[in-house]
Amino acid sequence: MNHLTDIEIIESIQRGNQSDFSLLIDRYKNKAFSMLRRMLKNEMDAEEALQDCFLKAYNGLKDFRKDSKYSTWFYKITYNTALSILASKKRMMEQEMSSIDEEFDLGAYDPEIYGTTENVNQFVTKMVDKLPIRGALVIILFYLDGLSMNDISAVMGLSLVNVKVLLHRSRNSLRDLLLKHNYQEEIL
Amino acid sequence: MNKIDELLNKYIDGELQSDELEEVQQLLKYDDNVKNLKALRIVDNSLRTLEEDLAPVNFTSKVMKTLSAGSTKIKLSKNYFASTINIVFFVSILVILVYMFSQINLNPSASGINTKVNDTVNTISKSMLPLLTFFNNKSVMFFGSSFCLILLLGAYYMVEGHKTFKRRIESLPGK
Repeated sequence: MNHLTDIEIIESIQRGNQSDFSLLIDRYKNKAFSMLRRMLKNEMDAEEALQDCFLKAYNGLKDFRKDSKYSTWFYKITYNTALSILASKKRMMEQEMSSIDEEFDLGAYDPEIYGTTENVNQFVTKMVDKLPIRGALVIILFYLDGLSMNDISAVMGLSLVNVKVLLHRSRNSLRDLLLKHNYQEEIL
Repeated sequence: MNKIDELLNKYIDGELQSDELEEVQQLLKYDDNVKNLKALRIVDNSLRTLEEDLAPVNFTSKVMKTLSAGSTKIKLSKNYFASTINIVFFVSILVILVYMFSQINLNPSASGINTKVNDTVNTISKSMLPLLTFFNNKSVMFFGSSFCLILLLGAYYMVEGHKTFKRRIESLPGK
């Protein structure tokens, strides 16, 4: 059944095969969980939100337009669900989400993480968790989920230019840390 | 973010235009820029090795159980406009029939079915005659038809507008 496209699975569900929804869950649960964990910075919240996202997606399938991509549509649900949770928890929502001019200074976390990682890949991966929410999210959507810049812009409701700015800033702040620790000399 | 950083990032993403490519080639004559590009490339390569977080064990079955417990079935969107028109049509027919039968003088002493049928036809003809005469008037027909058309179109657009709005609200992700 894994060879079925998202749209074929959705059509099957719409014909009444409810159990086929498990195929979509299996296909997207890890990616969505990666997104949620980095946005909510809490595994328990991420798990709860993940279930909520799939229930919302199931209930919304009747209105899903087949000319759009299920992945983009589902990630948008995931993103908005995480935003609602953040808003309800009042986790410095305004500071974190109101503009793309977020604080990209990772210096505060750097010494601790540098001391506990064995190689550059580990170091970069751990530092991604410390990026501002939207910076980390753009990285996850671009590198982990393989979304195009246009799709990321649709998921996050940002302009294409802003998505690019966020991606570049996130990479630059990680690059600065690498330069600080002379990783580029070690590897190349 | 400065211009050099932007160009180097575009270079990493393979998004440079030919004139920008020449610009980058010029920039790479300086050691600092080469160092920056190397570091940026390491970041890019490291990010490509990012691994997914694993969703909790038995997550899929948990969600499927929740769905089954709620016996959530996907409701197909109904065509409310067609249903409304059908209801209005049948109610109108019913009202006309009730009116017509109320005009029939059912006389139990009348002899035979034929008499009753004749009486019924006569009564219907008599009661319909003023109505037919009225609707035979050309201007009444014209205004009546126009009015009905406008009414139907208005109702159609109102219902469609409402449906589109409802669909938009419901399709808002996270709602």
